Amino acid sequence: MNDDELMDQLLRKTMVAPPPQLSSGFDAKVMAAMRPRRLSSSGRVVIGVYAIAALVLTVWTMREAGLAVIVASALVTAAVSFGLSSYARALAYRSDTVTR
Amino acid sequence: MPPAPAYSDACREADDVSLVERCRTSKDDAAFAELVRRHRNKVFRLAVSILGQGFVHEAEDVAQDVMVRVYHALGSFRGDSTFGSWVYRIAFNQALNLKARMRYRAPHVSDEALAGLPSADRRADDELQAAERRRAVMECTAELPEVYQSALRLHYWLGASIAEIAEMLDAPENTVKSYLHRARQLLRVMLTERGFHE
Repeated sequence: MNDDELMDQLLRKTMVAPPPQLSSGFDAKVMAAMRPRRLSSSGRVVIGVYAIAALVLTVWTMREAGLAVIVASALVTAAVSFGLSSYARALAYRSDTVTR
Repeated sequence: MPPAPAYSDACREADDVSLVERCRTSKDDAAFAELVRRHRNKVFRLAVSILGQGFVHEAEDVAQDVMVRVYHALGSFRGDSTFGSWVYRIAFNQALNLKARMRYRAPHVSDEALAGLPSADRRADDELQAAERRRAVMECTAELPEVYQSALRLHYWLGASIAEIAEMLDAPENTVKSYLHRARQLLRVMLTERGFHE
């Protein structure tokens, strides 16, 4: 028996642990992770009420400011909101795929 | 007249390319579920062959992550290679990335346990020597180049054929045979350096 055959036998004798199997819920976890997460109905109501209140308060606070300031504020707010929501979505995706 | 086959049966009969097309054009969940069913085990085995025997849970996470990434990246699949090769390449890279990140983490299960229990009819000295040899083989395997480690674990531990390994590593069968031969040669040299002889 040559060296290669001896190593082959040794490896067969060494790697004898039973092969692992995927957990039974694997498919369901994948299909759930694919779908975007949506807020519950109560969550949507809370966010909606907050958005309306914030808008009313902002308009009332800025009623004396000039148009340029209002436009600049709106642009900055939109950019920050977009960045934060993208980050939150990325976090949700990571927690979906990393946790079991 | 025989009844029309159920939609899931139609998915089972379709080839990978038409299933990918269905996913792309109509976001067909059943078609993607069928793709997952076909490739999940190979993706998982490939991931566990790279991460090692003590990281089975992490390999399942990688397999899950790969499937989600594949779903979101279906638009970029050009069809230059088979769908399976494309998925396995993503899995290989994903597992390597995770392995690099967790280089200093200890496995959940010791190599001793993974190598199996010694047979009961051996004498104590023989058992001790065999256990030491098994530990040395595990440690030396972990020092081999990644593709050799993967080929060895797929073949000897996970029972994959040369053709299956070739598909998963996207390499010709002769190349896989050469990986295994070279890996055995390197292992023999490493074991000899540690004082183990046949």
